[in-house]
Amino acid sequence: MRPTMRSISPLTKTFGYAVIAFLVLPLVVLVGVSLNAGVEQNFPPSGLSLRWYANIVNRDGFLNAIQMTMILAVISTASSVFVSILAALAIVRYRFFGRDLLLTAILSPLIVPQVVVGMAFLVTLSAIGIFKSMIALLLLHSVITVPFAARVMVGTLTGARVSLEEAARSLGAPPWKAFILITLPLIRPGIAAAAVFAFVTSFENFTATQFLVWDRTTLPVEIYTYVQTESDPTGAAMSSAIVLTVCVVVLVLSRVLGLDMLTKR
Amino acid sequence: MKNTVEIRNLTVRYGQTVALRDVSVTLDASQFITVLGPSGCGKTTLLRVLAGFVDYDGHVLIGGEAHDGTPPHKRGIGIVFQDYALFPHMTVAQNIAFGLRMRGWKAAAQKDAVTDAIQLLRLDGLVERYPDELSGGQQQRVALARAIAINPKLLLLDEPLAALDKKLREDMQVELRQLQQRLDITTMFVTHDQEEALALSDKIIVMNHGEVRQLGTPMEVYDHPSDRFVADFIGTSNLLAAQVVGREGNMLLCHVADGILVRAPGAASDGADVFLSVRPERLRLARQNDRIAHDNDVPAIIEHVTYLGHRLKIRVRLADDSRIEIDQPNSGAFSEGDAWSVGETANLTWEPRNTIVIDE
Repeated sequence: MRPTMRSISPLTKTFGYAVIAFLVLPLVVLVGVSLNAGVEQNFPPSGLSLRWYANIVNRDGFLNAIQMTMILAVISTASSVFVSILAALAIVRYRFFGRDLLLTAILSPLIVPQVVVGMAFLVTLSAIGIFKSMIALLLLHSVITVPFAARVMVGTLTGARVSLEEAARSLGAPPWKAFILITLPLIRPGIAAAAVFAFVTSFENFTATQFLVWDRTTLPVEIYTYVQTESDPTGAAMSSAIVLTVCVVVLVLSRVLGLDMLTKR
Repeated sequence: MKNTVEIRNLTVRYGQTVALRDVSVTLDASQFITVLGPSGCGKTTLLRVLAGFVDYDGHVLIGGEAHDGTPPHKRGIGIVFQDYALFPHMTVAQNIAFGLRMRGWKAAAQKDAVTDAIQLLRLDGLVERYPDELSGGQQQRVALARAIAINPKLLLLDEPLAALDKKLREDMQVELRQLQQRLDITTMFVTHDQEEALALSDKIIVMNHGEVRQLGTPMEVYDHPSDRFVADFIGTSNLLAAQVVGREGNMLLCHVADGILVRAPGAASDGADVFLSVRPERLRLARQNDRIAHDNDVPAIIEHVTYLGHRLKIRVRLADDSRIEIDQPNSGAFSEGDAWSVGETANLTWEPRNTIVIDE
């Protein structure tokens, strides 16, 4: 049976457009402000210029922060996706004591407030003595990105039939080969989605991260610090650049790892 | 390949539950063996034991060779799964070649073997298709081709026809049987469909609650069920409680109820409580003037008549209130006014040799 097409009432339509507007408008304003020719954060911009984008490059603070943020995002994405696949395999394929506990533990950074996570990492890592280091931030980011990746992977692996791997094994594939040749290609869209979530989560994290930064900071922290003291549109330019970067990364990841497989086959 | 299968004292436990209990069976080479039983009887577990997916106590020998502890990928056993388990990201050709690829065959040799399998299973023109572009019957044949391509020691089929519609299922039954005979490969087929089991098999293993209840030819399990479960599970069974009261020639005399005596072949001793079973199609309803001497003869009241066109199904009630199903061909008398009417008293008759005696 084909559902009959019903016309949407004007009220519903208006509400829908309002929601979309509130989602998009701040970004439009942000980009507008970043293009200001003047030193004020005006909207609409008073004259168009890319000078504040140029200013990003002139400031070592931003450049260092960009580098650090990228390194953090890439490494923590890789590690949390890897861990998520293993954890999801255990949770989906096996029944063992403490299975629910493991799932809860993995997802806990979603429930615990970021401030608490940051604070907890601060006191724990300074007790161990690896405070104020890249390792500390990598640990933090790997942990806070895991729940996002793990949730996607559990869902994806639940949908991957075990009988396929069994078929491969009966045909002569050792377990690892059956996983790589059969299951891995099938969960690739899930891995891509998990990577996107993890990357964005790491890239944008501010709250927990600010507990662990020292004279080197990440981009969100750097932007925040900057707008505390300066009022020119560099902060807006940097933020716009982030929006652009995230869009590009998501697009590339989905192309390379095959998010399009979700819609195609 | 022709291989015998020997299973000795096989026990499988899943935590507290026992899936298979001390199963011992020996299967001849080149046979088509059906494992039949209700769901949860352990039949799929038995198949998974042979495939190497399940830990077990006991011994499994295939072709006389012990396979205990051999992982699935070193067993060389072909399996067709219930959901076919075709690799969705591979074409038909890639699916069929997978086992050969794992064996390190050269591309040319793989291609030849795939072509053979394609021809054997009439899959021409489908080689470049993906599984989701195939019909259920085609998927089934691809799964078979893939399992056969590795020239397996043993072919295992886990309810592969369950998902097909009736017509296709019957065609596939014939095809499956012909294929098995042509390849001369020992095949174990799991099903809960007794008709399918009777139609296809050289031997049937009837299972219940993790135990083998009977191993025999279709004829043996149908006509000589070893116990009440087998009699009841295979075909429709009319069970009557009775007691052996004596002998008449080579027949047992069994007392059913109210002084009604029934003759049956068997060796039970006097006084033994037994169950008598008669298949619905071996029963006949007769009027007083239409009785055959020496047949068993029990008065019955017609309770219900179902007209099926080519057959009639009639349910009658005996003096002890037990219900009996009769299945008889439609002789035409029914439509000529000579029909049985509900409430009428008739004589339920059958040849003594068609009585199955089941010791309890």
